[in-house]
Amino acid sequence: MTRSMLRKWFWIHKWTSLVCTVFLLLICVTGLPLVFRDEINDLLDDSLPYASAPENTPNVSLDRLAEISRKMYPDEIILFMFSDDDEPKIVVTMAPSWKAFTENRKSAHWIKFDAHTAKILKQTKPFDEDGVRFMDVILKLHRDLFAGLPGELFMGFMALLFVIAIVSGVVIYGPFMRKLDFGTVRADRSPRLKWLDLHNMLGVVTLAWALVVGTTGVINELSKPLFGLWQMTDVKAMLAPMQGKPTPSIAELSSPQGALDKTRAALPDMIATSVVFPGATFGSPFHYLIWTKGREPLTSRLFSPVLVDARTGELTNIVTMPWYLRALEVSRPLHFGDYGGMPLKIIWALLDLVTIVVLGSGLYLWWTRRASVVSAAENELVTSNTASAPLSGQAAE
Amino acid sequence: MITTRSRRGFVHLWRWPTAIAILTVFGLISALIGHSGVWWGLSWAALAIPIIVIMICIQGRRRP
Repeated sequence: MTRSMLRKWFWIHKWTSLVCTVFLLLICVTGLPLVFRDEINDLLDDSLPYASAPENTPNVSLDRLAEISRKMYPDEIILFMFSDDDEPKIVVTMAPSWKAFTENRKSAHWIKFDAHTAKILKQTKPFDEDGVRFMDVILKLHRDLFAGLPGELFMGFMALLFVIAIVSGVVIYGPFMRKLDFGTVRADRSPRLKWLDLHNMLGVVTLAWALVVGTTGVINELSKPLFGLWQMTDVKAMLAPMQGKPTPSIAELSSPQGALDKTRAALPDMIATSVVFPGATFGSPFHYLIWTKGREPLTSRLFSPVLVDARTGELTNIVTMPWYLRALEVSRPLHFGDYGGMPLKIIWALLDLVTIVVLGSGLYLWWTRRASVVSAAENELVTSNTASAPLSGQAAE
Repeated sequence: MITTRSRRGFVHLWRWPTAIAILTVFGLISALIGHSGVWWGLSWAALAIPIIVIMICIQGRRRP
């Protein structure tokens, strides 16, 4: 590599890192509890316990849960019903209207039922009145800095800078390390040299993991625009024949349990997890949208929606998701690290801690540069490591 | 032009980082597609390697 090329890459590495470091530190620190989100949420969950029921006890009908929910909140509508395949629970989410929910997601609240007995295990007030929950704060800081979509796009851009910083870091790793053995940490000279070696070693060892988590982070931050694109293209085309018809009223709605049964009959190899009622932003004004997923480790991450006519109860579409939403779905586990049991989560947390040290040491290296002769110091670093420098006998072996 | 000397330098420089990156990617994918506990075990083992390498580098300050 020529001296001017190395200088350019060094400049890219320095500035992409500097711009994103503060936000990346926040992302890494908040990411730590988020790795253990399920465990922490379970710990903080004050729901009543599930009733003990023999294996293969059937779930209560969604129709019955819809009826109970509507009796409890006669002025509200049901947004979605979610059943868990791990726990015997069915959660019904309600709001004054889809419009109110779209304008302020906090207008919604949920009722958690025991799937076997229909007993209410917990319910929340509309989120505005329910106080702030710890993991929600952490997640918002991590994802969008409490700024909604603009915040998501901003944090996505920071993650993109992080990815560019990693790639440029790889390019300049060679010139910096050509005279040294892999993993050398020169601890006996200056602190700056020790931290430079640590920065290089920790960065290159965690390279693949950081690239994967960074890239999937960027993709996850694009989830709203990607779903929006899908809504404007594929979903719009699918709903075109229904255009102009009014949204069904509650009295006109066919049975949600019936919609679920139709879906199960049409797709016996899939697990139906949730029923979205007509009117959702990312759904249809005329159909129940039933999310289904596969049973294998990988396919259980891939969701396919099914549309059931909310008036007639007939199954109208089994939707094939576009490639960009498939990519988004695969990105989720690879970003969260929640797909390989507790040992994987612990490894995820340790690698997250290492990334914090890489970021911190990078900041330290920049901070301790010789302030008065910045360019001189950088020149010295660059010059002493370019290709023109002779290879040591050890490095060439 | 790549000389034999610089190619050997390249191999020397990148063999460990490349091996660790391949193991990491294998570990990330195996838990995702694996049908049994064996794949999870392989994933944990593969992804523990970077952490073990870091510990060796810091403690020993020598080639692992």
